[in-house]
Amino acid sequence: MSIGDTPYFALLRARLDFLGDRQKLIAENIANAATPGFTPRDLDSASFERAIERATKAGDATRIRAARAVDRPDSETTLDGNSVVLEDQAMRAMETRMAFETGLSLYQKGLQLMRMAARPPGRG
Amino acid sequence: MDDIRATMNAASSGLRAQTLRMRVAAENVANANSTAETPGGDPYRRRMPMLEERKLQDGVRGVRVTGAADDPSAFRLQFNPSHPAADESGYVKLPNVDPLIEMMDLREATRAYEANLNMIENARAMTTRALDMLRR
Repeated sequence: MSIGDTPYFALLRARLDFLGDRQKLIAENIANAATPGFTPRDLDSASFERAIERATKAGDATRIRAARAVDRPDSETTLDGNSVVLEDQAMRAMETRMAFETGLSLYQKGLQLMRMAARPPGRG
Repeated sequence: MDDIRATMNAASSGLRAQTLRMRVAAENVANANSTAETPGGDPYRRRMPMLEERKLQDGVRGVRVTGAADDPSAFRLQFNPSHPAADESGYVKLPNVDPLIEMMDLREATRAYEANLNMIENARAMTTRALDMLRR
């Protein structure tokens, strides 16, 4: 078992993968902000969170499957059938970025803890 | 890293599409008063950019401008018998361009352009932040 497979890091990795994937979908939605008939997509975060919960209970986070992309129209649909609202997407992008940075900070903290545990005692 | 690259790809396809949209709007505004040269001839016809969802490599859903379609709405008529393009009854056909609509379109394109730029900036910041972990 490598360090990356310990529950702590595996969970965080699954989360970071999820967020990266989500950011990709948001970019696609924004790129298609003026395409007629386009419906924005987002990751199915509810099912992902359930998977995380299951993995936490089972203590095995190495087999969390990637979340599925589902259609998620924003608050308004224009006459040409496009349901992308730039503000909603921008909010979501910001949220994702903040969560990503939090995840990375936690990952880093975990590595620091590992390093601290591996150091011989009495040397700071 | 793949997702970050996909993000950049999608956003840059958006940037291209919005630039083209701005170009078409600018052409319409520039030609808002272009008449025909022959009597009774048709003046400049307003054009509309056609945007379409497009699969890029790795299945990224980007966007593409497939071309510009002519706006079939009616031309404006102006009574001006001395104009070289006037027909027998003295009316000149003027383009079906409404500067107000073009301005709205331009505004929208600018906003979408900025949103795409922000997406690229977001992706860049996330990558930088991840790479920063190597330094410590």
